[in-house]
Amino acid sequence: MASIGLDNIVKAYGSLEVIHGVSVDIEDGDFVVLVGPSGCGKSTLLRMIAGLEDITAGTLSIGGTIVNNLPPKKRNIAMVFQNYALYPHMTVGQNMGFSLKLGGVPKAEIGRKVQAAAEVLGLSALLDRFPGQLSGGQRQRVAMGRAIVRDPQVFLFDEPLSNLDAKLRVVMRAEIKSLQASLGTTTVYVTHDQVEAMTMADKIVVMNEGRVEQIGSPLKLFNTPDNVFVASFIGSPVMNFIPGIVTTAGTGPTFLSGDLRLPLPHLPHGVPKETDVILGIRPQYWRRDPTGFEAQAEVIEPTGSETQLELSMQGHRLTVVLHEQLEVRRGDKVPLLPDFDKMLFFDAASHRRIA
Amino acid sequence: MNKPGLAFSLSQVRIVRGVQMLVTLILAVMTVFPLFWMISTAFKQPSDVFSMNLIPEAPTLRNFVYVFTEVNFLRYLFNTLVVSASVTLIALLFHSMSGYALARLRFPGREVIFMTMFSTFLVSLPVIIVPLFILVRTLGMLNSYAGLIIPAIFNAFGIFLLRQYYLSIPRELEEAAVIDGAGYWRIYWSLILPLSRPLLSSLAILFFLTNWNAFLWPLTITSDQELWMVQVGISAFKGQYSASWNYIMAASTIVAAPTLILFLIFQRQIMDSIKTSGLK
Ligand SMILES: Nc1ncnc2c1ncn2[C@@H]1O[C@H](COP(=O)(O)OP(=O)(O)OP(=O)(O)O)[C@@H](O)[C@H]1O
Ligand SMILES: [Mg+2]
Repeated sequence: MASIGLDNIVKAYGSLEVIHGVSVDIEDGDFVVLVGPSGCGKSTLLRMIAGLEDITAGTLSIGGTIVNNLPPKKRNIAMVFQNYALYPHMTVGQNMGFSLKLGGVPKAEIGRKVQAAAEVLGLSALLDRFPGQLSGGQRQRVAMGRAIVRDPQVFLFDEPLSNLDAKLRVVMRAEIKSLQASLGTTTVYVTHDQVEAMTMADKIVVMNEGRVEQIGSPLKLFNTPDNVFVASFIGSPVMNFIPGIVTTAGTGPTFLSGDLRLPLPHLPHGVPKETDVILGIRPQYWRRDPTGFEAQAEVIEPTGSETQLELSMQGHRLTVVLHEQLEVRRGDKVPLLPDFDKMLFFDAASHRRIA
Repeated sequence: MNKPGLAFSLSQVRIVRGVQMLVTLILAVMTVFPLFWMISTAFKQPSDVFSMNLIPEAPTLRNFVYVFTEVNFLRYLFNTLVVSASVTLIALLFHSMSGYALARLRFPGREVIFMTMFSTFLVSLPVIIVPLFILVRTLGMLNSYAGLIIPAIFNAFGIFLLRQYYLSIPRELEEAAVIDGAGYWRIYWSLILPLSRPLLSSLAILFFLTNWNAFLWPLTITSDQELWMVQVGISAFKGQYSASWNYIMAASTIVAAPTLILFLIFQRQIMDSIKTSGLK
């Protein structure tokens, strides 16, 4: 178990820089999720922690020691790959014991450790099978088994669940989380799925185009995203963004965007008047209210307990999730009221949050 | 392959099938017939050699006895076995190592080296046999096992196939091994070699058979009869005993037997190797 420190890490392939100075502090025992759109450099960053990629600039430390130039095997890390990367010609038991065997651990002890890990993961009956004879979920477990038998300082996961079907993904998500909690091993987990990030992480690192956009707990990112990118990336369905201005001219504090007029209960703190801003409000923060603003339903997606609506409100497209079953048809008018406390305001030029 | 679909009536399909089968049958007979002829002649009396019946009138083993007793044929067989087995073993080891290096290790000139090797595909043995002979003579390897074995190892075919295969192995597999603490050598030995077993066994059969039947090169560099390989020995029959077809066929049958047995045992691998070495 160890802390991990990334200090101004840069990665360039030749003249192409893909990671532009990333700094993250990961505490001992943390479950940190790197999340971001495809190609933002998550895997590259993880592979640098693993030692599979050279670090172009910056310092990487594990457990307080700088490991920039240490080969992977000296870093005492274990990694789980997206395609599991199980050795096809070895049995499950041999797969799990391979690193111990290379480390010169006595046979009897390898057997014991493999047994113990298999027990934890429910693989005891499969130890003599070959990877080709396992289901996707079982392979996933073996890959994790291979990681935990070594009792490493750090677990690294690169999209380990993306090859599983939706149901199994939810099961394995919980399993990985509880396994990590019981072992207490520092974990860095890469995914492009924000739901996975939200549900599993102690701390999320949102990345975009080789930069860190924000670091924080899932709820912090959800409630107070630093910028439009994080606000739109975290949370599902995606937050509604409406460009406009805040003004006090006329009847009182109002958000104006074209024909849309949203009277505000008070002037949001820190938002300059008569300046271009972006209003962000999550689909979940609307409710049906007779005193609300009329919007026309265009797409209705009932999920049982909730109803997701795509509407148009004064020329603006709006996504709303209502926690009720709703008998609405396409074209119907629905009166909606936003939760004013949950409104976020971003600067239109810098996209940074101002309130 | 025609499936009885909407466009074809059943009778049409039957006719096409019938023609296909007939053609296949004719080709099969044409291929197998010389083989039967060889075996049959091997059991014939010298006087019957040119008689047209496939079943010998008075079958005899004399030809075989002759081949083993009057000529040093056992020696030729032994030489052939030693050469084929050594070439196969050494070539597979070196080819898989260089194939791996060409597929995975980064070193300057890698592509140039690969293209150079690859270009040797364009040249067949007869084209280079004179310079190769001079080279081997200069190295003092005429009339030696080394002369028979070493030049046969240099062959781009195995390297090429293995390299292509190694390129198709997911990198993650090797990375997982790196993280598990394996070095290059360990990865090659514990991961790459076992994974390439199917391809290696196909290549082994191919190499073995090629060298077992080698003729031109052994003929070129061995004048010492003690070092002759079987095909050279057989061809010498023709010179020494003109028209002793019964002996030649007996010897050929003996030579063909191991290849036939190999084929029967390793049918599947041989078919696979043909499939992988041919156009995909
Ligand atoms: N070997 C390489 N040479 C050049 N560029 C590379 C190389 N490997 C990755 N890149 C680039 O680095 C960037 C980050 O890649 P990376 O694989 O880390 O993305 P990612 O966030 O893991 O994406 P995904 O979610 O699709 O896996 C990409 O733009 C990619 O094109
Ligand atoms: Mg990736």
